[in-house]
Amino acid sequence: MSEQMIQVHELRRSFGATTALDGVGFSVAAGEVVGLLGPNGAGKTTTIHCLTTLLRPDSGSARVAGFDVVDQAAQVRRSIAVTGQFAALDEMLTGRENLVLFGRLLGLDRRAAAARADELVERFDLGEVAGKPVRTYSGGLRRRADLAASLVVDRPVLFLDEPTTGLDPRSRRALWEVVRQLRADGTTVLLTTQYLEEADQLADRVLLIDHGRVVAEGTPDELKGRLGGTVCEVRVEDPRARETAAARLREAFPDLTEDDDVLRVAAGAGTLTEVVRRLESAGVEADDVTVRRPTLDEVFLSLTGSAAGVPDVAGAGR
Amino acid sequence: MTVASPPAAGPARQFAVLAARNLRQARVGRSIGLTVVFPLTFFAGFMVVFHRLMADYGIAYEQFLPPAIVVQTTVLVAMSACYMVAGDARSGLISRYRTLPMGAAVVPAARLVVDAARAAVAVAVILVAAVVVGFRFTAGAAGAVGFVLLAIGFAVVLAAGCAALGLGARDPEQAYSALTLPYLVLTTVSTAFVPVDAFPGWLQPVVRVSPFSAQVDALRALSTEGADQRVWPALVWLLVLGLLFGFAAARSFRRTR
Ligand SMILES: Nc1ncnc2c1ncn2[C@@H]1O[C@H](COP(=O)(O)OP(=O)(O)OP(=O)(O)O)[C@@H](O)[C@H]1O
Ligand SMILES: [Mg+2]
Repeated sequence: MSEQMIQVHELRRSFGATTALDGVGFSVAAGEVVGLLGPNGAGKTTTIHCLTTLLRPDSGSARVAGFDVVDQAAQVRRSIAVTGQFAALDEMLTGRENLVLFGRLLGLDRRAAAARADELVERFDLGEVAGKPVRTYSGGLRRRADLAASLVVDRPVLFLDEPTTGLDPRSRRALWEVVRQLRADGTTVLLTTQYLEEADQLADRVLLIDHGRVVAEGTPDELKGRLGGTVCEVRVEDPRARETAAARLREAFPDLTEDDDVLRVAAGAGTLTEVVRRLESAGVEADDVTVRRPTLDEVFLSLTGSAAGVPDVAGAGR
Repeated sequence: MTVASPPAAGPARQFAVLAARNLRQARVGRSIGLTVVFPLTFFAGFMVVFHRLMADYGIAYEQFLPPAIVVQTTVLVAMSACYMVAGDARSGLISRYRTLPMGAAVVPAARLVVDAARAAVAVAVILVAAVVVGFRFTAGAAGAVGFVLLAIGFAVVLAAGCAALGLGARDPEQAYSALTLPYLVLTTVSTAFVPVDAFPGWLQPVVRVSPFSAQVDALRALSTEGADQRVWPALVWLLVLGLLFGFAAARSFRRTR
């Protein structure tokens, strides 16, 4: 018995000529929250669909809660809760009726299903609308009700496909809180997201996925570290002054790079002082001087190669 | 790591819960019109237009027409199953069911039991109207019971096929309208509204083998002489289509693309 709740090995899946998954592989330990991060079309939803028995992989294998997603699909379904990328609710029923419906389908008796529905209505702040048909809900409300519907019974593994897309900041924060609580209760969570901040906030570990394969993985901090750690940035708007500054700084920092009106060097101890002194002696007045860690955004762009003007290395030859 | 999870509801409970939900869906919207208003309108229209004409040819239209209206209506009930299922597929509901521990037959079965109920209501409404204008079950109670069961059975079998189609469809309107043409052709090119000799010679073989003709002829037999050899083709069709569509419906729910 291993401690891995999700094990994915060399998973491949094509749709006609499109290769959605090209050998994706990773594992998620029991109790871990892992973020699947990738640009549109990277294969996030396809991965979730394969793991939740909605889609059959062409090749490769995956186990969820110890069960094979193809051969033991029924057991997998007993172990998972799923919130898909798009809400999956009965539009005709009210939010509360939906929660009762899924509770009943999952084995709660009438009373337990009603009690659970009330609890979830409270927890997801659906009180005002719980008695209205879902078809009248706004996108964010629908999203929340959908998530609540996935949590009607406790499952060891939870899949969330872009759970906060379309939520306002307050709802998003509330949802983060829910995920943290689930994590504290020991639930294993695999979530996909477009928001890097979200991965940073929630995930113990992040998997960067692009063109159907994992291109990098690590804790959010580890991934940021890959971009060479802290940088010092000098912004000079005037082109001639910038040229002077660049020349003067390059003497001490040969790794200097230019990006529009920003000069950038790797920062270590004493870098800031040295930079400021050199700018002064060159007689350049900088518009801004900062020292900062790279954002997960930059890591993302540099690794997936989807930033404008950056050659698409991962996709070369495709 | 293998994790024990609480057992889901048994298939019987899941079936009951979903059937109750589908029944509720059936009570709203277009469904009422479909099962009550539509057949009555058709019935009245055809009676008014053709009654005299058919009488000239020696056909008692008040006895000839009701089985046709019953078939037509049961087909419409089945077609609307496609519409409802496709709607559930579009709203993502079916996908959610697919990730739940549910038996492959639960979702289609809960669909079909409600379609059977809708068909029963529609048949009852038509029969009441028919009796008012002179329709009679001259072969007694057994014939009447057989008539109703066969009509409902036909609706359920067709609904299974339509549901299988709806499960794979993206757009309810599109799926429904895709069925409209075959429906029109099949009802028209059958013995539903006119006897087989009224068709041109080259078309008569087609009319004779049509499952719709078989169904209408069997219902006519059951309402007049009682169960005779005209019932067999309908039963064979029912069995063949039932196996085919039943399998398709269960499979299309658990089909992992
Ligand atoms: N049913 C399908 N038929 C055809 N192509 C598909 C299908 N599903 C996914 N694809 C293709 O597979 C690739 C991966 O899609 P997927 O939905 O997994 O991406 P994603 O990472 O979830 O993207 P997004 O951020 O937009 O949700 C895309 O190129 C997509 O067009
Ligand atoms: Mg997606």
